[in-house]
Amino acid sequence: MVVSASATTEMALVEPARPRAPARRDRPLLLWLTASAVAALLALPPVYVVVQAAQTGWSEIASLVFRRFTLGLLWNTVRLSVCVTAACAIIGTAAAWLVEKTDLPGRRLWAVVVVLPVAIPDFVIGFGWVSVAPGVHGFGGAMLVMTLALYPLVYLPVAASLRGADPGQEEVARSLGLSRMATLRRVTLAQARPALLGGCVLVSLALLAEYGAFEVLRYQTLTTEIFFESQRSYNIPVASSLALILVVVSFAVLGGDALARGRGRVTRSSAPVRAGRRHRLGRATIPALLGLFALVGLALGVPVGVVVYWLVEGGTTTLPASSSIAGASLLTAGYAAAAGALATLLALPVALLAVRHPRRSTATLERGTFVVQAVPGLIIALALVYFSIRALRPLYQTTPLLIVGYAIMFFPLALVAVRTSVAQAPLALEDVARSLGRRRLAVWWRVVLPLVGPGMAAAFCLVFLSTVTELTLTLVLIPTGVQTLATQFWAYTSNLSYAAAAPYAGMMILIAAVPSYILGRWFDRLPSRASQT
Amino acid sequence: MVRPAPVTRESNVTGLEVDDLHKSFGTNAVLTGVSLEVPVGSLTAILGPSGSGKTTLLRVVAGFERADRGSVALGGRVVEGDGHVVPPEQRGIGYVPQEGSLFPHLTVAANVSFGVSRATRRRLGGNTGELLEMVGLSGLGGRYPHQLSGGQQQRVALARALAVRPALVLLDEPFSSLDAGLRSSVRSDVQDVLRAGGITAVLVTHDQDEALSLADQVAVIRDGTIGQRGTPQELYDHPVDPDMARFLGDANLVAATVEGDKVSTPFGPLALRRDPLAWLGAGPAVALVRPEQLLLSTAVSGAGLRATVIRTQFHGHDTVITVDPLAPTGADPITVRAEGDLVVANGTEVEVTADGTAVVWPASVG
Repeated sequence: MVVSASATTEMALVEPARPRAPARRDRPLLLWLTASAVAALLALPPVYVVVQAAQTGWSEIASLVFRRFTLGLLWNTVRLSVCVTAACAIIGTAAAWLVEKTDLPGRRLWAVVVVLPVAIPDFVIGFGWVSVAPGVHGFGGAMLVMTLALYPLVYLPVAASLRGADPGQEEVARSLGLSRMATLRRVTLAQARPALLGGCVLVSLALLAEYGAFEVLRYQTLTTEIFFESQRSYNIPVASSLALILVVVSFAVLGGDALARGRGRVTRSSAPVRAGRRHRLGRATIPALLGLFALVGLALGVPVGVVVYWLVEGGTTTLPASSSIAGASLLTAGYAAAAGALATLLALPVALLAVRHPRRSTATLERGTFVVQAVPGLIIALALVYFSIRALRPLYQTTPLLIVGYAIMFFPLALVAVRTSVAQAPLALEDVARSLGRRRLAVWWRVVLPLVGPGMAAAFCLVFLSTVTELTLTLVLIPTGVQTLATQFWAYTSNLSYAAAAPYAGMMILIAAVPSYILGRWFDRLPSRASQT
Repeated sequence: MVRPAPVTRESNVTGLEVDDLHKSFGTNAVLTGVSLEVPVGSLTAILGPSGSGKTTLLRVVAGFERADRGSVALGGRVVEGDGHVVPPEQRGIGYVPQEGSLFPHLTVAANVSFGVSRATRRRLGGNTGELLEMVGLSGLGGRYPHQLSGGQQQRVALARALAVRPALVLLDEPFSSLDAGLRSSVRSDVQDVLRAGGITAVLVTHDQDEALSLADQVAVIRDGTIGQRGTPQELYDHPVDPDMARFLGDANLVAATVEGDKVSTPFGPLALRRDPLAWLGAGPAVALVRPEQLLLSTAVSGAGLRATVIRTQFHGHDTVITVDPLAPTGADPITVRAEGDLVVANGTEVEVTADGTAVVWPASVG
């Protein structure tokens, strides 16, 4: 799921454009209605948390929260979040600087390989490590595995920011008498600061929401405990008070980001970006290469190697029937496609409203839909179970509810991609097309769709990819009797049937790789297109 | 460039008639009664500072915005008024927006033929090529917009608007995004194309130089209404008030006294400019003397205004010298425009005399 989150940073980096032309008088009523409906759907999980907390009663929550055990879980969660986020920030930024700003040999290849761990689910990376080195568990193990799994979330936005940065600023700094190091610190990294912050937020939120990897590593966090209380011991009051704490921590992360962002904005000149001079690594080349080799080997080599090992070693006898793999693959792809389509469709009215009618009210609505980012998938799943049992009983444990869950969970990703492409189709183009004698419908077909289409495809791919590797929400919402690749893998590894599990991990990585590639191409094209228009 | 046979101008026919147009956005009244007539085949410039409502006027004429009150007629056909509205696609208006707004996913040729129906395209065949040739871009039909320079993009935008043979072309600050050198060449090319085709056009601009040099008729928009309308010469020579005089070019507005058809100014006596709008009173007045009417000399005769030079700006074809009067004249520093190069050191004491006629307003107006 984590891959995709990188796009959210892009969103954070792109400030909404100020309206140039006078605001239009016509109120887009239909757009408002649909966008509000979407916002209401996305508000369900936070509402659930509040409702649950209110039902449990504040005094009981207080007694549960201030237990030694709860405080221990909170300490585990926060301690790990801070350490992993710091490690990811350092590793991700260093890797991005090496690839984008120096004469490192094989830069183009590194740029692809360094990102790849993002296509491997965190729980597969965890499984890989545990099966190679049983000593990897607890805090140290969790820190190692999660850093390896999540550093691309920092790498991606920081690399994009370094690539798009104006080299003129570095030149000016040098001409003003700053040394190389001072320029790096005060200009280059300062330019990348919003991207770095955005990446760190993604890492923290992913850590707070993670369940599978921690279960494998036997590290207890708030999320693993909520899962246990709600799914195993059915202790709803405990689960919901822990959920309340988890959501509060997530919001604190988002709030802290907003505070840090508020001070000092980085403005980008619209001038076309000129390639800056790359730093010569010189004698540092070998250590830099070794470092990247080690990083990729640990993050990518270990899990992929383990999966391949079990595929080969397992032999044909212990492998599950290929029909069950095919069935799970088809089902997973089907779920992912439906989730991708739904999330993209939900994002469209919100993006249209926010980009084309930029007012305070529409901006608030849009920002409101991003709030769901801070709600872990597990809690979204619990919210949907709660509401379906109470209001829409027939939906409980059905495929549609699972799809809606995915769509809510990955909505922010879809919105980022759709929003970017809606901005590529400004209203001025529609005005011109109409003045050339084309009717509204023809204008949509010939102008708007070709321009917004690629972004919608990207949104679809982002959600597809994230859904294929999603575990936590799937475990809670999946209809009884069916298995996706992730849940089947999970079931086998829980029984320690590693050889049986391996093919499912292999398929997941395979299915996720295709949209990853398409996405990579799309994001590569983005800055160039933006500078051309 | 291929020039189609010029169309004879029937200036008595109205190409565009706007009557008492009102438009507000919320509580912000942008247009407060704009009336305007554009003769067929003419190029009219709507000149105004930013925020004066000129773009809104254009958008209402094009049909992208609805007016609150008033009417718009094209060639005698009412397209907006009395609750009746013709949608933009049925108005037959060519629109050239500020940044060109070419369709980024279409080639130049596809952009140009965007509004041409399939049947027409088949019948005319090479029409696109002809249009591209007319705007000086033949051979570039296969390119995409991002492969063109800013000036080329503007030309394609014009060709695209002309391809549908519109009754009227609207140009919304089409040159403002171009750099200075390119601007003048694209400007004159666009002027040539419009003139050659006898096309009725309305150009919106905030650049008085552009308006005066390109247009047959200039309408100055101020505070949501047309402040003055006329040929460029009329506007420059007979502005309705001192503000208008300042807006239409460099202006020295000095205290003066009117006696009969003479006006005494700090530069010496001048003849009163005769025109229908002229003020016929007598007594204290504000006089307009354009910088090119002034002469500098270092010899002191006592007839003109004594001043010291404070700044000299050499422009190649002329030199603009700013002088500070020794005695107060009621004016800011005086601007003098002299042909060619004139080297006067700062601080030199000079005498400024004037030539030609002066426009005056009662002193209270200034």
